[in-house]
Amino acid sequence: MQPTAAQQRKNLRLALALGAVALAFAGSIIAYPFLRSSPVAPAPFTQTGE
Amino acid sequence: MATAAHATPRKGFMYYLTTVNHKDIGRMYMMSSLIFFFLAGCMALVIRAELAEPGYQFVDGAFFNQMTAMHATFMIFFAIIPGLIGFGNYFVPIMIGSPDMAFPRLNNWSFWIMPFSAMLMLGSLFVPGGSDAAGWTVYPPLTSAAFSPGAGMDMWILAVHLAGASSILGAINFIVTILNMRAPGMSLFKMPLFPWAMLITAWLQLVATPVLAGAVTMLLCDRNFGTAFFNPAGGGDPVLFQHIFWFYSHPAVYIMILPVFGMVSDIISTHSRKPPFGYHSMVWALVAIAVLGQMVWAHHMYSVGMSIPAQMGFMIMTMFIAVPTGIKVFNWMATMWGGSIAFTTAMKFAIGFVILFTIGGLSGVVLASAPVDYMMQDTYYVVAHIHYVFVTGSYFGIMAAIYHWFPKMSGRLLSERIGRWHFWLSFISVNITFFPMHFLGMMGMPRRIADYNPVYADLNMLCSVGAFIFGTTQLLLVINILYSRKYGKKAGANPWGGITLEWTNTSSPPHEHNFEKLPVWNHDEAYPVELYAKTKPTV
Repeated sequence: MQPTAAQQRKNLRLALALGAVALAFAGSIIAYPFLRSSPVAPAPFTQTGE
Repeated sequence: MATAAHATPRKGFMYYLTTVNHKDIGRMYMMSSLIFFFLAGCMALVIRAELAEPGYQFVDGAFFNQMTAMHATFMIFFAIIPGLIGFGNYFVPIMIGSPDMAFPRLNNWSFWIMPFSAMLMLGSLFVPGGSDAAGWTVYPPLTSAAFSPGAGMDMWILAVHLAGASSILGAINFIVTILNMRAPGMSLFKMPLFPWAMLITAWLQLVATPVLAGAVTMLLCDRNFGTAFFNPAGGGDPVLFQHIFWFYSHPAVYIMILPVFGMVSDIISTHSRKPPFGYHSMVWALVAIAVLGQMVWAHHMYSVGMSIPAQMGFMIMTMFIAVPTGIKVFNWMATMWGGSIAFTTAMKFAIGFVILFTIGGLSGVVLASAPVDYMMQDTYYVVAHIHYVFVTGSYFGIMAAIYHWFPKMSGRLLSERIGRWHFWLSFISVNITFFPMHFLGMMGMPRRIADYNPVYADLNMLCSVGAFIFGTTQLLLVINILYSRKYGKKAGANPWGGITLEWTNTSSPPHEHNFEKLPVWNHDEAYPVELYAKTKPTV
């Protein structure tokens, strides 16, 4: 009952696409604060003087 | 690939460490879920013992705060979600006619990440300063290095990273399995409702969990690497964390309830000897709940200072969710209507779920209203609502599933006599525990406090008595499982007269590759009426 090679390739392609979706979501969330920060308050890499 | 590995001669721990069989992995998820249910349940009893009377009885405020955070975290990440994934792992491949999951080794890996995550989470309680004491929502600035300086908070974050990785890998496996590995002839709309629910849940896990990973990664950087994602002093925004956190955590509620919707649909249908009423509307209602559920996250944070139009938008969208949820509740009732109902323990828990989850859903509609939520925010009304969703919702659904599918997994029926006690004591005590919390909330009692105004004392004592009865009652499940797996009545292949593939095409328990011969679905629908004539309950 082993999946055929073609079936395994099809599964792998779909899994990689889904993995890319997950990475895109994580990446866009982390990118968002960089995109919204202004030159006056350049979050997130501003030293807070601590 | 899977076949050779299934023939492994290993025994004991090494067998379970290396097994790639979806049924073994499903059972491992269920067992670990049960252990964490009891662990997190004990934490709940610490909370209720402390709250039985005003003043400090047993623990100090700091430890109490850690208990509230750990109780929720363990219940969500290590008890409810893995429990549901366990049932999905065991039954989805069988119900769709597949010999295993699409990626058996990935399946093994997804499971084994979880115990390490749980150990890291539990270990965080024992480091200097203790664990997360800011609630499972880990809002900054409470969780910033200034206010939660110990390593426990960082361990919490890393544990959530691991649990999230396990969840995402599992979600990919479920989606690929369901989309690519169905039996010939079984199109998506000929698939039973539980696999449908798992497909949609897996999608939610795939898109929402990375968002949580992003949020806690930024929190970790703020705590340790001098960034200011959520620190206003450096131009960051603590409200941003709340948006990102709830973008995951509201769908997480659906991750914990959609599989239960699928399981309950199948259980009510089987024990009523009727196909689920309105199959297509059930599927589309699942899709609608998932889509709407991703767009309503900010109803958890009306009081942060959002604009009125934004609040109205989130409020209206949230109320819309009542429509597909209502469709499901009415369809479950219509499924039972005119059916040949067997009031087994599984069916009792399923009916208990429908009644009590509806109460949780209705209090959700109350909280969806922004003006009301301003008054109820952070009160025990919210605690009552979420426990009617998770305890009488997710937990009752899981109990129904255990009583329904245990005969398939073990070959023996669970004792109905013990089951009756388990159900009725649970049904009564869960209401004693959580129903008074609605009144406490309306009286203004805030949540996450160890001490309170004596005016709330009587109802709190009632809640605590109910909690201890409910907690003790759950030992009946353990007794029932231990007793029945040895002395229970033999189940046979199809004790309930079910018509889905796990009942009609496999033995109890199913053999290694599920089927003697891979099934072909020759029917025009998911629940063919003609099969009821061929399958009769044997108990």
